[in-house]
Amino acid sequence: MDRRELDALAAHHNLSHDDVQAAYGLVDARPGAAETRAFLIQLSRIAGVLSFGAGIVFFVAANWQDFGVFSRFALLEVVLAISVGLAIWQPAPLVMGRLALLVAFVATGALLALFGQTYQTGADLYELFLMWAALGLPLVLASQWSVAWGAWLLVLNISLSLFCFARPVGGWFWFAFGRGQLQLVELLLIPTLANFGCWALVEFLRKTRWRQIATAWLGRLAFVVATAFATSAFMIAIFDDGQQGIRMALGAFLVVGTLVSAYLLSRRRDVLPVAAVIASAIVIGACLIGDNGTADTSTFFALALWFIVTSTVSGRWLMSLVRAWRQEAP
Amino acid sequence: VSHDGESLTRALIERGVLADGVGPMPASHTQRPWFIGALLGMAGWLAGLFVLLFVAILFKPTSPLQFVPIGLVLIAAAFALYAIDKESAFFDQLALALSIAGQSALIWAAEGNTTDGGTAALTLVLQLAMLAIMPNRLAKLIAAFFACVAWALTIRFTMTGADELWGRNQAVSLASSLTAWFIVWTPLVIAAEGLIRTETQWVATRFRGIARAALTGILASLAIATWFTEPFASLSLAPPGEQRSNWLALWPLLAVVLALFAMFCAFRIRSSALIGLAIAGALLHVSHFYYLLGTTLLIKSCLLLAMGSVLLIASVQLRKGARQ
Repeated sequence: MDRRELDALAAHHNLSHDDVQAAYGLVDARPGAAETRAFLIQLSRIAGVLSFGAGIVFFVAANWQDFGVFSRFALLEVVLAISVGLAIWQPAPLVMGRLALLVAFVATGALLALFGQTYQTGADLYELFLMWAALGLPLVLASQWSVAWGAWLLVLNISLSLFCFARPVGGWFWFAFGRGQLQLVELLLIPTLANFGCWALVEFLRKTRWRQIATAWLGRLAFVVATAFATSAFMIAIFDDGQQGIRMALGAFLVVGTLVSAYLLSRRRDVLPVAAVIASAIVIGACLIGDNGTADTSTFFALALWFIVTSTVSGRWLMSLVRAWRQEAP
Repeated sequence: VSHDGESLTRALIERGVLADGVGPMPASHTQRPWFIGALLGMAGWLAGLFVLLFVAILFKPTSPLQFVPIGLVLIAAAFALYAIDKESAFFDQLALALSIAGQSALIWAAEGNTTDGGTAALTLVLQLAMLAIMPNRLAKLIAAFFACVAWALTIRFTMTGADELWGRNQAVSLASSLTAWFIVWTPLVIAAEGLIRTETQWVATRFRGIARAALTGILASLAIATWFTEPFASLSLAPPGEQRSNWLALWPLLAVVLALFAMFCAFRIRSSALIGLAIAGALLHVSHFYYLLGTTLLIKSCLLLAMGSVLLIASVQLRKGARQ
């Protein structure tokens, strides 16, 4: 039970302070001392490691003149070596090993950035993140930790976003995907499919012995990011008249969206991805109304009405799914 | 351990807390997941802005003060809709849109007639009024969050002055920056802590709706509100040589500490949605800290390394304590 239900229960039965305390005790509404301590240990560990990693990245980026290039490379390599050494000494899934591999993943990115900055490799920014994701993959695999996979997914998506929106010329992706001949809407199929692929992989792994790593939040994150890319593709298709010959791409988005939605509704487990698809449809519908209207009262009225009606209907429907799927849950 | 309203009611009857034969809670009290609330809230916000544009074009007010009656009428209409039909999702959304439009109109009117600090202070009063009177949970929650944002902006504008987003290259001393930060956030931290500690007391009163919205709004603001109250002057596009020292650039780092505190509070009330929001907030604050000018990356790096060390030492100490 969450706090909203407990509040409703207290209001419905007009519970006194002592009754509320009894109810909180029965549903374990407040963590005990041991649970709190365990949470604080985990929080301070992860936050400390990430803060330390960010500090190293900031230090290298500061380009401090009194600290030469050689020293900067040495610093990062030492951090990387110590992290990998710790991970070998205390291998994942031990906490030390996981944290060390997360630091190693961060240090890999910093090392690549320093390499690009020092030797002016001419690589586009998206290539740095892509290389980071590629070289960091073994570390993330070894960590067996959803947090490290979350960081990897973030890096991969930064790379894909830079590739799609900054329209660089050159690099692996540029050669692989049309050498600049593809429209932006077509390019956005790549991150959409990549993230849906990650979500599908998480869904599959959750049925195997790897479900401890393939956590629900990781799949949800990939799904929401995929939906965001798809929504942006439709928005660009609606507002940018320069996008020509994109019917195939839009058709592909619709087919993927339909298949994914059909799977979600047949699986009857998680409502969040369904809500993401609906939110996407509401935004796309609003864009269509805005594009076909002028800045006058009728358009603004139609847009206000659209948001109110669609959110009301979808809110009710999603709640019915929540109730039904919760009852069916094993 | 009970997991639903029905079994909890049964357990409370067995313990003699509730009288035998009391009925279960109505089905409408079924938990609404955070993402559906977020969808409804965002849609209500956008609808509200379009309602305001619709009204502005329809009535063509010629001065900011003419927005006052428009805003008051819209808020009154929203209140009436909330009060009349508490079960209709459509009227809830319509009321939220009208409420947002009305509040935006009043803030627009204030902005045209007072300083930035004055506008922020009036917005704070407006949001507190909305928190107290609006008979709807989502409306109260949004009001609580924006009351915290308005409070932060009021103090910031009063203490360090209002600046244009990309304009003046403002110099703010370390003492001023830290003083403003403590004045802004300490009361909110104390309020959050107090509300959590006294939770079982206020849940048993009729103020539970306001207190719950206030607690959630405060925790959400501790997690992400620094993004809404960011030190604009630190984003100045002045060349590096001309950039003056502006210690407001420390706010995002301090916001990371707030986000960690919000995460801990969210854990204590078992809210995974607020924990997620605080994690996202902490990561965003670190990237914000990187890009803000006002102090050097070297100092920022040292501060992050120091913070990381403190946190790691704290984790070791906590672990030692757990073993003992």
